[in-house]
Amino acid sequence: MSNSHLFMSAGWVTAPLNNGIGRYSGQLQRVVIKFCKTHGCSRGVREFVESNLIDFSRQNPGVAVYVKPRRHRAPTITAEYCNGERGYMHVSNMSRDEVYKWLSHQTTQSGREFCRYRKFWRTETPSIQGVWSPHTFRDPRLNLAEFPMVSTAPKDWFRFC
Amino acid sequence: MSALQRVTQWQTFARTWHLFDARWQNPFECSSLIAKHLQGRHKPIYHPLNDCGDMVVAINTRHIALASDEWIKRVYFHHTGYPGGATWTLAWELHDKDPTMILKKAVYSAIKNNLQRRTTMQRLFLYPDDKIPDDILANITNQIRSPRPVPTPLPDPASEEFQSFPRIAPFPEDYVLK
Amino acid sequence: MLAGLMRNVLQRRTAFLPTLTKCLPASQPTSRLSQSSHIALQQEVLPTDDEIRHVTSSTIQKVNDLVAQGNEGRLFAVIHVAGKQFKVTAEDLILIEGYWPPSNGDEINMEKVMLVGGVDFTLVGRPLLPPGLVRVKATVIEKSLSHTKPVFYKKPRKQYRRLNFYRAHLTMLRINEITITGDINNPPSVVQVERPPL
Repeated sequence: MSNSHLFMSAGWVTAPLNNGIGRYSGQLQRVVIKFCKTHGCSRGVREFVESNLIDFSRQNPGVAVYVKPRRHRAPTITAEYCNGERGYMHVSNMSRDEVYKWLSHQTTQSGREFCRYRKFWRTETPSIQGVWSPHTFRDPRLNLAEFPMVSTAPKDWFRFC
Repeated sequence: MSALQRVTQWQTFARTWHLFDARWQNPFECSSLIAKHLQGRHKPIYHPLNDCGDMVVAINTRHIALASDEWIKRVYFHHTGYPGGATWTLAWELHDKDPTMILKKAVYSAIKNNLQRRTTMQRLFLYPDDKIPDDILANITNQIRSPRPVPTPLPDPASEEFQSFPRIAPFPEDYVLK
Repeated sequence: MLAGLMRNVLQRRTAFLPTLTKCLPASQPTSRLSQSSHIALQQEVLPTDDEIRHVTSSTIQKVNDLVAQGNEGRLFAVIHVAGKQFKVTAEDLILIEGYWPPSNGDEINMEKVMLVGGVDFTLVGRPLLPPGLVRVKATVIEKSLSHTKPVFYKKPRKQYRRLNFYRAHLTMLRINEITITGDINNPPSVVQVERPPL
């Protein structure tokens, strides 16, 4: 047995608040962008704030965006979700496009803790036509049969050999 | 869990007793068929972690049919563990000693080697002829169809059936029947 | 009602299968010719073509009536998405692994439906059901990355080993509704297919 399950928990597919039934609601509530005004590693974030930030917040009206200049600190993005979880990400030395990509990636999350999915499918109604049992599709003539019976092989039996 | 769900669970995982007639069957062909039923691989609910294997009762193992000259060419190897303890037994010798052993070994080798192998084999019952104990016969509810047809032997020439069979022409009177 | 009908059809069809007859006691003479044999051979009556056609058309009509009255109940479907098949019913969640362009909030119509079933009937595609017969609607609710998967490969005795890591794209879909929108066994004579955008 491996020990991988000690660090990465396994889980099932779930969606918060029955998301998608009726309508879709974005789960990202708040984004805090921290960066330095002078350091080179914040350059991509600064360019993003200057040119793309307004567009980003217009495209995502449900997300509150906070921008915090921090002197001589590495740039980070903190995302807070409806379920209270936070995603934290270092964006040092990233270009403007990369910052935009990772920020939009945060908007599509549900904020759930990472896990290894056991199945890629989740249902509340596992069976509609009924659960299989040994009696399903059973020949009713077998109910009155007496064993042993003389069994006749299929006519094309040689094909299976 | 409601009473209905509990009964549904019982019903789905109930073990079925299958009968298999090994008369005139090649044991190495039908071993995979028997192993499939023993492990429950014929069920749509099959999963290696759920215990859904069935019971199989194989009869007439004395009357199995091996292909071509396998009775004298197939060799079963056994080693006692001591120096000089190796033995090689021909198939016909083994069949003389225990008429169920060839089919049993064939099914055993058809099951993948894992911890479930010996448990799975315990669900297999082998009988050299068609005499089954009554308590086991009472459980049987299904029969696995034999893959090969059983050849019909010619009737006894002295029997009524042979005599009354329509002939194209009678034998000449001076013809000597052997 | 309909299930019972289908069961009748199934029983009729099993008459084609090779049958198992009862074993004869060894003491009885096996006479193939004697008419007064104790073996009561069951005569198999095969349905004529007209009968088969009648059963088929009336079954299809019953399913059509069921759908028209809205009594089909909860439906399930087998859909083919991004190279994998999922058996889904309304309000199911499925995950699609790998790059898949739709983004959050998109409502999608699943075009490749392989099978649709209700309590009383099942429509099986060969391999797909005709377009427009079934509507399976889904909403994209999450796009994320999987956990980090290690990829390790090595060639023995060649001092060659690599350890790579990757995270796959995951798209979570919510199945919203499954409805039968067309007539069964009544495909349109002309099918209009939209050219995908270049």
